Amino acid sequence: MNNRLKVLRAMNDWSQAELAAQLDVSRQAVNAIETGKHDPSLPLAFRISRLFNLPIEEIFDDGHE
Amino acid sequence: MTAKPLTKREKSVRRHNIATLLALTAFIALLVRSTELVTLPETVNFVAIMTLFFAVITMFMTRNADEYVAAIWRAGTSTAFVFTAAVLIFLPFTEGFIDGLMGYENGQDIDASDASEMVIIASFFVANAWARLRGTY
Repeated sequence: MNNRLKVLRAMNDWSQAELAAQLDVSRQAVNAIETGKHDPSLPLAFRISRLFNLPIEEIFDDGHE
Repeated sequence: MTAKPLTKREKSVRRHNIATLLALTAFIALLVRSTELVTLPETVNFVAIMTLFFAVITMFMTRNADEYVAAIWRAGTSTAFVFTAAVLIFLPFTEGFIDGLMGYENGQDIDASDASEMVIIASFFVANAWARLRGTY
């Protein structure tokens, strides 16, 4: 699944570790999501959505129109 | 620039990752020793078994440190479960079935206990590494 997490993190000038602390996950988890190696759980997707104040669909793209 | 202290979750994830590396190293040492290609002292065997034991316990205790770690753990354990069933049940069954079809009466040529532990543990580490390198889905 594609996502804009890296772009959104860069726009806020956060490191992976800073974003991870705000989402209550590890830095490795943030890295794995950014590189597309791990799809976040629904609760984590909601936390990401709330943190960036964007709907989930604007952060994650499952490839369906 | 001062480094920020690690969060409790981050520490737990690090413990899991270090335990995984230690377990893999210990397993490789046991594997090398079992092949008898290299002569290793008995002490290496003892240290490797104890390291593997404590590392696996640490991995189990920290398996839910993070949802990413949990996904990696699940990839390894589910693969190891399939290999357990395959090696301990289906392999001897298949051998017996083929012997029955061919009319052989050799008994059990493939002993499940011979290399099954190594195959099962190896399957865990291969799936674990695959999940880390290629993804958890």
